[in-house]
Amino acid sequence: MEFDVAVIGGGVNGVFTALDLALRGLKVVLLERGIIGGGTSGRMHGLLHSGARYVVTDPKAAVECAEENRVIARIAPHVVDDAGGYFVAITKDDLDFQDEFISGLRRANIDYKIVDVKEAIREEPNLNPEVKAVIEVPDKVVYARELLMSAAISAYIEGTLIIQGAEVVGFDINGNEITNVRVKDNVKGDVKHVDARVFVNAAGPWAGRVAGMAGINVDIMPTMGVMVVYRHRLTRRVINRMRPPSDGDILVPYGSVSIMGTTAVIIEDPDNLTIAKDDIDFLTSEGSQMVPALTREPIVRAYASVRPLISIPGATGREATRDFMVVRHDKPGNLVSVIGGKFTTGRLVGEKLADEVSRVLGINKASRTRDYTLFGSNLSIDIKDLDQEVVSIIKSFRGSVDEERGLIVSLSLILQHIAHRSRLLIGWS
Amino acid sequence: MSSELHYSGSFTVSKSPNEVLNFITDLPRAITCIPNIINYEVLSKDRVKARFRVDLGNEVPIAELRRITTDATIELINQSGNEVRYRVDGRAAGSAISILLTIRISGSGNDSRIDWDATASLGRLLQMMSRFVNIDSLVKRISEDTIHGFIECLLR
Repeated sequence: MEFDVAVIGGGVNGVFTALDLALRGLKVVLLERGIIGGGTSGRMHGLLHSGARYVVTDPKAAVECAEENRVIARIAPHVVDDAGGYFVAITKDDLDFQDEFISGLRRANIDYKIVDVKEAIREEPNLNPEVKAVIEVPDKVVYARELLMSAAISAYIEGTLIIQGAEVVGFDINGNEITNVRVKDNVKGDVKHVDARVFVNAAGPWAGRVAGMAGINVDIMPTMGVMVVYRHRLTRRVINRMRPPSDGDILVPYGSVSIMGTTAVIIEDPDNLTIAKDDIDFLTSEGSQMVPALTREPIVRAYASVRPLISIPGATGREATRDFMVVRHDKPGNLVSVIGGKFTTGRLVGEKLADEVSRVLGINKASRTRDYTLFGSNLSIDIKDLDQEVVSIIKSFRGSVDEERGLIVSLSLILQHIAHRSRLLIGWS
Repeated sequence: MSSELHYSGSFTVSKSPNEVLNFITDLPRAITCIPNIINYEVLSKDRVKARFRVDLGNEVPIAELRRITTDATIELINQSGNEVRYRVDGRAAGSAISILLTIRISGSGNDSRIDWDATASLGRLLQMMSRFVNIDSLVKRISEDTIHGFIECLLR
């Protein structure tokens, strides 16, 4: 079976690329070495950025986040909590940053409101009573795994095969072109070949490793971001520290818990993460300056994600410091990679990658993902050949005490079904 | 790239050498003048534990890595005449850092000349960053900004 495009990586960039390409009528296979959302994307902090955090240091990223914040809320309302966000000034230094911050918000055209401190404390009683200034922005909370599964299922509905447990181990190259990708089937243990006309490297922190298999010299420095989960939801809104982006300045109310992030620790191997107690203590200490109750709150767990810093031919200098970059390699000429990116801008990355792939293939169809409502907002939509038992489980949540919490279960069941079906269709079962 | 970076500089201030020397050897007092200090704990008259924020700048391609928090122990290890030596040991971005700083005061009356030199040893992981940014100029800028901020505070 030959595909138009093989997308490597089932994180936010990969699933949206697959969906975008499928909506342009291309025959797509998505290869994920583990489970959809099992890597960096499924370990983010839950914030769907309003863009406010980057208005001073990365105005372009801020504008992109602001737009994608609205797009994701529109196309996937079932996985977005329109919680809102506060930027809070605690120290004099924070307060000194306020004017520059407001100017940045204006330039990026991000809605904001200066909130009276007393009103803010009434709204968020756990806020530090010493807070000096508060600005409200349209931050939202996004349920990461649900979004990733919704996008993957949508891609499948539009014709993409979703292959989990498919670890890329090499490429066969003929002249200037990759002819096929060698994939270790982590379910059966053997190595298989997948033919495609174009290959997309959306492997996140492992993108350097994948590009290296195609003979591209890539330098990579992974950095780890630690998040700490506290037992209770302490605020209605996302609470951000009003200062330039740094470590330990975002508290996200994620469902019934609170998540404090994040750190920036340079590591050697993205597959080998160790979270230090110092990092947990640091995040609690920083977070408690915004919400003092954090020091009394039981810590449930900590987790970490890996951001890649990659130096790659064609992506050097100032450009590489931007949020993400799509690179079409000279050799092999049918490999396109993406470097960087935030969870919030994953759909946009998918659009840009699909644009580049379309140029390689010489097709002229525009992206449709901006206005495409993802699967999941209405679970009664028919999935071909879905087992009756699975349908019954999904339907049983409706009207029950667990209707809201049932969404992730339902999506997981459907993902398992489509992954199984995809293996049958590609001939791997 | 060598694991050690060396920097030096000099400038003059309108304070007598004695005043400058008294201030910079009073570590519990001088610590408050470290730029971007978040908090500190005086361990003894010659040792202080401090947390401060270091601005690595926008050339670092990951937003969260542009401004990092550093925990360090600062120790006044030697004073001999008009020369004072400090050692700073800490961690930044998960990597060890060690800085040996020597400050020499000279001059007379109400003016002092301050000569400083610093040797910074970066841990293996921070050295990895040199493949992506010019870490030599970055550390140089941080050293100069820190020393100048420190001395400006002293003059207030």
